[in-house]
Amino acid sequence: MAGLTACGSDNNSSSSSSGGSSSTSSAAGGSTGSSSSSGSSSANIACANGTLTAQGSTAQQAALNKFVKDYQTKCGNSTNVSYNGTGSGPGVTAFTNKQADFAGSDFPLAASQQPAADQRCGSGSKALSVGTIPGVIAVMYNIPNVSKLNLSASTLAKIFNSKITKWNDAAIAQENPGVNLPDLTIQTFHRSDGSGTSYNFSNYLNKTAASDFPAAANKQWPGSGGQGQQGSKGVAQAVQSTSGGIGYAEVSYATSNHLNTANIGNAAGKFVPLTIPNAANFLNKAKVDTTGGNYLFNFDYTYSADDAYPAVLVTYEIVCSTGNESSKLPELKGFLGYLASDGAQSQLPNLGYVSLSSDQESAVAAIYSGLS
Amino acid sequence: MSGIAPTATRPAPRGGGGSAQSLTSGPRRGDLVFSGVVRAAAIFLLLLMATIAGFLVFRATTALNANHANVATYTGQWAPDDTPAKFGIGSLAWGTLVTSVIAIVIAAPVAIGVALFISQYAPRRLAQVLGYIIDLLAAVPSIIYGLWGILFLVPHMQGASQVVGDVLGWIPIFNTNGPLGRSVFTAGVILSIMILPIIAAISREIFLQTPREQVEAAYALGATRWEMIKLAVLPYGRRGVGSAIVLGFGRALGETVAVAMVLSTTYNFVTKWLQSGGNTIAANIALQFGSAFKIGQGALIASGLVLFVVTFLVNLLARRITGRADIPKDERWSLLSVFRPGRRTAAHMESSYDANAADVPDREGTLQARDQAPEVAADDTAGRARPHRAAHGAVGDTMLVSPSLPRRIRSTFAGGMTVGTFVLALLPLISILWLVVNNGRHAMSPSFLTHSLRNIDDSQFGGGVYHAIIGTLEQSGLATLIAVPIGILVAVYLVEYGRGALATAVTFFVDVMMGLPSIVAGLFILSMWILGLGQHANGFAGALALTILMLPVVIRSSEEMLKLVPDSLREASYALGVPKWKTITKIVIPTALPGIVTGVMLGVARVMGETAPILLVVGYIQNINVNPFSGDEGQATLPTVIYNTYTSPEHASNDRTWAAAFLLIVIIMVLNIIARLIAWWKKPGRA
Repeated sequence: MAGLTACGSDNNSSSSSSGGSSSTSSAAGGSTGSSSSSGSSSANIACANGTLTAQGSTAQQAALNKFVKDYQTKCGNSTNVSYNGTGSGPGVTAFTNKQADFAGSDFPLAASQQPAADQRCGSGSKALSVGTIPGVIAVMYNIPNVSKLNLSASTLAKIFNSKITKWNDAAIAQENPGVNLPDLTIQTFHRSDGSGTSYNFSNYLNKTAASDFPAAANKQWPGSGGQGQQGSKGVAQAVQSTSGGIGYAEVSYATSNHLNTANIGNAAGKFVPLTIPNAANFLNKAKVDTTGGNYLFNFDYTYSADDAYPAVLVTYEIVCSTGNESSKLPELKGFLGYLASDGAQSQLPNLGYVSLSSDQESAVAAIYSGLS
Repeated sequence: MSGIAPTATRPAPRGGGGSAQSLTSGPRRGDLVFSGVVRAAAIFLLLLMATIAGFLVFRATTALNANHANVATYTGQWAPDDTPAKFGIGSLAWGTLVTSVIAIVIAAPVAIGVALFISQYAPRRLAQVLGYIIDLLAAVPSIIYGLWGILFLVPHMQGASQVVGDVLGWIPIFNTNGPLGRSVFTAGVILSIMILPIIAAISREIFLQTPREQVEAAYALGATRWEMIKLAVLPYGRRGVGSAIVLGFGRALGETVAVAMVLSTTYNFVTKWLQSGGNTIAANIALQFGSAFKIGQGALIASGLVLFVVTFLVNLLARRITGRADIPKDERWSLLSVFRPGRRTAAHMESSYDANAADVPDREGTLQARDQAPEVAADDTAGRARPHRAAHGAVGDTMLVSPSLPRRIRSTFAGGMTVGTFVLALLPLISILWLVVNNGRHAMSPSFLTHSLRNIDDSQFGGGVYHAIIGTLEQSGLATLIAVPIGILVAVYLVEYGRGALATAVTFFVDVMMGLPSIVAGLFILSMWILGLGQHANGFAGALALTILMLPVVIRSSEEMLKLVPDSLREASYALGVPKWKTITKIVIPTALPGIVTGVMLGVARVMGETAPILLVVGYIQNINVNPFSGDEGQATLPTVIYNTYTSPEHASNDRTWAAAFLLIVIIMVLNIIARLIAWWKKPGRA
């Protein structure tokens, strides 16, 4: 390896690993977490040499980048894992075409995709969709001098359908007594690319306030009006630079752009602040569908505890149940097993994601250890 | 394509070879081999394009058959993967045309002004450097234009759009009643900056090729510098400039990432150009590809096919417009006529001073020796300060005239305008470079150049892009090695041999290829090379995708430059008994080399910044892989590093985005300078 790399170096262990001094919410925990937990969690890591190629969902990329690092650090220079954030569509396509050893996806495989994916895995095998990396969707806003904002699902639906156009609208004022709302035009921002974030946020609105948000959940933002932006990054930047702006994105984008996040209403009309534990509480109540060896999450939007934040999402790994190349199997099981381990899952909150509950964690880990 | 050449009588393919052969005992072996090789290159290109077209049609048909909406008029959500599938392409095509037209309307005059300034007004020693500075704009990757658009241009365009809307709101397209800024107008402005260097660079090379005799003849007639430009430079260059504009338009039509980032996506037919909303075919491909499954990909390919058709129609139109320039009595330039129309003709001087003067507009009313007291020398007036360009040789008494004050003022004013366009073109460059350097300095360090990103997570500072520098250089180097020989051979075929159906078909396909969205090239390699032929998704596959993108740029610019080689050079060579193939390889190509190198470098600059196709066909990895032919191991490039680090919310990762962008611009620029030095060194008659 040293001979191949000529004058460049893959060895970054000596370089200043002053991680986590970024300003995200993960800042404090991130720095200690990234340097210490990789050591403490290393006991869970089953190492194997080789090269693992994966691609897909950008939503789980930050988490996978961290876990790839943990895994490679523990296992040494003969272990390579790459995760390429091409998007869920290309990820699943690449997996189906045997270009990727596993795929990351915002969605489980659809019924129409399942046969081709199963065929890729060989006879008698099945392509599994395993929910592994959960996340939480923040509603970010930019209103001068307003740092606390309650928005019910119904009000959010009207805002994102352009029915409410001013921040001092009576409906918003009623939910925010004592808050001085300005006479400012609302500018809503949504994803212009197809995404699991749009799907899950529109699902929350549709399931919680169907009369104000009749459009069914869709990866293409189904609301009417507003402005589209590319990627969560684009949405966050647009809100940040637009007075009166509001948009939705994974929570890490809200914190890195210093944006306030709204307390959103659940089915019972209570306003729940965005915290990772609140999101985890909601996630724990999701109904899990394990038919066919999959691990699919169906969120229960009627669950309306005070501490259950209802705008969440889960990203999936798509992998063959059997028929994996024997040369790659140990590394595949080792790496995916690490994703479902305590060592990895406990880091997720610091990375802007949500951990699986311990029950969910062990169920997912069992699926990965059963791969062959 | 004969309009550029100084002699009006020249046949379409450069002749002379036949007469040379007549002096010998029959066709020479070398000629047969050479013409066979260039013809083979042309046929190869045709086959490649036919394969791509066939593949696109096949994939598109499946999606179109599944579509339950009217593809031309549907303006709802882009939902090809839903059941029932629904998508419309008509509104996308409309948005593509609107943004590209805005871009060309802004870019073409500025680029021509810049080219005139660099080639005609700027001091000789400075001209080359100024040219490189404008070329820098071509070195900026598309994703960086997008970032600059979001962070800098959109906020400023909101105010500007408001002003335009207030003043011109009575025109429906400038009417505003909603959010501004993320509009087709802003997208057009960004596109205009992106295509400006292409138009400016090619125009500059063409203007520099203006035959000295024509320049001197104009000065000899007493023309000011601006009048000389209108008499000699512009008429000589109009075909080439027309081609340059078409090249720029092609790039504007196919531009993806930057437009996708600044435009707020809607699927309606855009009628209010200042207001947020709109979409283009290429941007839609970039936006929707990440979530597209099988029918979704087919739908995007179908839209890519529509882009083919749009590109072709535009090219056809452009050819018609520039094609008319062949007619000597053409009045297109009369708007720019040196003297105000209606003046009587003093003399018909055509061909009295040089046989090549036929291309100097010699129509009535253009040239007129003003009856003024002759002054001592023709080159002592403000407009003609450059002695080597002035007409030392023309000493006939009646020719020595001094321009009147209004004419000198006009000339000075025109010169000032070209300086103005140059400054205008510099502004976005400075703004972008400031953004890139200012943000890129955080992560830039020696270890950034010598380390990979292996084991560096998003929130962690440090690491580097050594692995990506290797990948970028290897993949674009391989693409250049494949595309340049084929491209030059095809250009030689078109200029020196081409006639009949094959030449027409090749020209047609090269034009269409210009508008190929890069992601479609990636899809083609993915489907045909990797999935169809079972090849690996490695650096070489990336190089093949880049080759497809680079070929049309190399062919079109080389073609223009080869056409500019004066026939007198060819004829002189033939007269000495040199065979045609040797004349081409030893005389024609070396003479055109500096221009060809410019075209190649534009092509390299374009592909080096490509993200989308590479993501599809080469796995992104964070460790060093020096072998582009290694199995499925994958290879990082600077644009894929930029892409992967940009999407991260972490600042440590975003710092690396800017540093990598900075590095990419520097690398492209250094390669540019090296290539030009080589071209200058190899240029015949350098001493």
